[in-house]
Amino acid sequence: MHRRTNEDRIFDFINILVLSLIAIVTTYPFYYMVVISFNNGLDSTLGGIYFWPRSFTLDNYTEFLNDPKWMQSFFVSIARTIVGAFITIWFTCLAAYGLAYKNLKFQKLYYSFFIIGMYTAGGLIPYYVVLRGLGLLNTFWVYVIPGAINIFFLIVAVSFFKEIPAEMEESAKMDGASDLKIYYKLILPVSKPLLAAMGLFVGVGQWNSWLDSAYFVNNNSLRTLTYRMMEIINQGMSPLDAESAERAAAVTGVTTFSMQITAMVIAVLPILCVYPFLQKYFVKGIMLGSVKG
Amino acid sequence: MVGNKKNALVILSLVIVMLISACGGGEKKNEASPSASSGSSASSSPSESASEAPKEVVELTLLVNHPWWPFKEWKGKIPEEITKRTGVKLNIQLAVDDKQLPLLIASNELPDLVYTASDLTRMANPDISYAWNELIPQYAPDFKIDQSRIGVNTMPDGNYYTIKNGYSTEQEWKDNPKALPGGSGLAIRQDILDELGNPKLDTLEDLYQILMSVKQKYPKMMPIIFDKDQIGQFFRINFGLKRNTGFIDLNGNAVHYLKDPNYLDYYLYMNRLYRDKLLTAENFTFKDAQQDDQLSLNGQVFVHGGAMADTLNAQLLTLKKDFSFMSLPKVLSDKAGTPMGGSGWSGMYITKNNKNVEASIKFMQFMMSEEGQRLGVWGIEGEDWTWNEEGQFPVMNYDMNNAEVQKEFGYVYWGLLGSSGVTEALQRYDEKALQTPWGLALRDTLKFNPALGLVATNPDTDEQVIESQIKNMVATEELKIYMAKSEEEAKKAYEKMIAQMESMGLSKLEAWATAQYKEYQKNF
Repeated sequence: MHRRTNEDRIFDFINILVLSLIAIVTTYPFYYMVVISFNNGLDSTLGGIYFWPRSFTLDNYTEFLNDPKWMQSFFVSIARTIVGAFITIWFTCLAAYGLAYKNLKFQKLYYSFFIIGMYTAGGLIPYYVVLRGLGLLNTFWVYVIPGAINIFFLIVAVSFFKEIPAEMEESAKMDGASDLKIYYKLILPVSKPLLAAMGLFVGVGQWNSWLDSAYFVNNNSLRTLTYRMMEIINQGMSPLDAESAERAAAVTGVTTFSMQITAMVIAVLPILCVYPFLQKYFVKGIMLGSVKG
Repeated sequence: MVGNKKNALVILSLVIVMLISACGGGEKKNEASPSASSGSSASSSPSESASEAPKEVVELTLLVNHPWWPFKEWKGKIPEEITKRTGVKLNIQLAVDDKQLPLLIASNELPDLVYTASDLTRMANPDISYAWNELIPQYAPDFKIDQSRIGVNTMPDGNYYTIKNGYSTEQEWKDNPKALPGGSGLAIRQDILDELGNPKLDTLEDLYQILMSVKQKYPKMMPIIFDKDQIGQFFRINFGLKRNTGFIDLNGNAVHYLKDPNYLDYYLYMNRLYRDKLLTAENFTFKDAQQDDQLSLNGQVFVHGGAMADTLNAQLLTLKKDFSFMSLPKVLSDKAGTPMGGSGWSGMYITKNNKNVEASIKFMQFMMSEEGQRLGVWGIEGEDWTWNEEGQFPVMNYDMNNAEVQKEFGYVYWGLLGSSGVTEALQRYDEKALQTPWGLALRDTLKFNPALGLVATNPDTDEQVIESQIKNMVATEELKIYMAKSEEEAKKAYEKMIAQMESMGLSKLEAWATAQYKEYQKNF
């Protein structure tokens, strides 16, 4: 056992100090949001709240939970995150497994299709017209179908699958397993780190996305949580050009700002709950895929 | 264990299916079938509508192209009453940013109606919108619009595709002495003013001296602060200046508003405030509208520019603060003037995708009728408001300055769909409000020149490119004038800004504007 010298202790001390500072700096903004969300909205406008609510209230959350519009958006966001992540993982892995197959004919041609697709985009209007042509506008599926194949993860997954020893597949084949059986019973189970990392990335992307909800959906029951947040952020902008718009202010405990903060806390919470469980696969999944053997 | 996993999977799948079906379910409810709509009885004219409720409700989709619009649904007693009287119910689509309308135009996916203050020339296109002058004789022959409104909304192709709200003629303003224009005033701490012995405050120099004494007596206090969108606006009014956009009349020509001879005086006054640390540099960095309110409610500000004393006081009362603001009841210069925008603000367009044109134009007929305007902006007569004894202004039975009340019942904003400037202005008159004397002072400074207000550049033209390049340049150059270290430097910065405008093609823009101006003048 190595004996700790004074140098070690000083190093540890500085290490702990620096890391604690980083931890505080990164977690404090979120802590601050939580504090503000539990504080009276009008009182919050005075500022000067740092560590705990000055005028504690649950009104912000009550307002949020009592409004069916917010709850509905919350469920739409959950649904698109689960369904979206599932569909993306499913299609991306399936395509990647095919592309990783050594004997695949025209492999490079297929691969270049994906690469071209990754670098070129037509712009918003052509994209909109395509979605309309596909009948996806104003449906739940506009959130999940266009992202069914994630080309970045497809590339990661291809190199991940290529690293799986060919002997494993060969022995399964000798035992009489079909390609699909090998894929589902052998390849996917050993690819858990990849699936978890993909799930997290795609899930967070789905959860945070607001642009598709704003542009491609005009049915209020299909709006997502982040779109609703965008709405109240917009509401805080005063109109420069509106000569006739009126000025009025809320004198209640729930203000636009406190609703905004509460929505942010609620929006961050689910990801915060899932993250620790996926974190252990996270680094492994990305690294394995990215290192060429 | 395996069984548990299977069960969990089945439950998860069920939840997902239920969620998706729930999400999709609402869609059908909101869609009005064209056949159902066309058979509607929205033909009720404003006069008969109040007594006769339509049998079938027409649902139309309206894109409100103002992302900040506080109302997101056609909900509350005012919209319900409008539906009762017109037979039209609106499904609201709120634009999330300024790109959404161009996207919908480009992809031909416009909803039935569009309410917008931007992209007006794009919307006023026979391929995109119906011309009202064609719809009215066909569907609403009793919809009478006065010539002046037609004049300020007629496009170069001879059609008018909307009648913008917020417009009133000079005569209408004269006929309604209680109509108060909206304009940026000053809210001043009453207690500090009392402590200073209520010094004389009649001129801009008096204000400067008071701010200086506040600075000396209360060094920690910010003498004056502006709302981020109202910086300097009170002083512009006092120097009779336009802001942001447009042209002024100089010897019969339309010239850029920044070439107003008074503009330099305004800049020098602002620069003096800045140099004497009465106005802080921090004020120019505010990112949201809450920062100035926060400082004022905290008692750190003596004068708040752009705020309403009534609103601040209501908040201070809730916060149990022991001070309050007064509203400066007058202008502080004989140069004061408020150039009127010209042709109004935001307009309703009936798009070529509209599924019930007849109901749409009749809906606008109602919204623009006196009955409709008053219902939308003020509320239900007898219940929410009554005329004062002389019949000059509405007396409200609710708090107009409370955003929650406005939102809950749908007052004010839905009325803006078709209101006149005077209807909006009369709603501001409140005998008890601190803001009212300021509003009365402001209305004495109104300057009318509708022909000049009509001069606006069209999208994708050379003139618009020059105008927007100048606008971007001004945004940064103006700051250099405000924050110059000496009066000389401020003057030089102003001259440099004007010279830069000239080098960017200002003379071409002004030549175009003058030609337009002279053409429009023929209509008035």
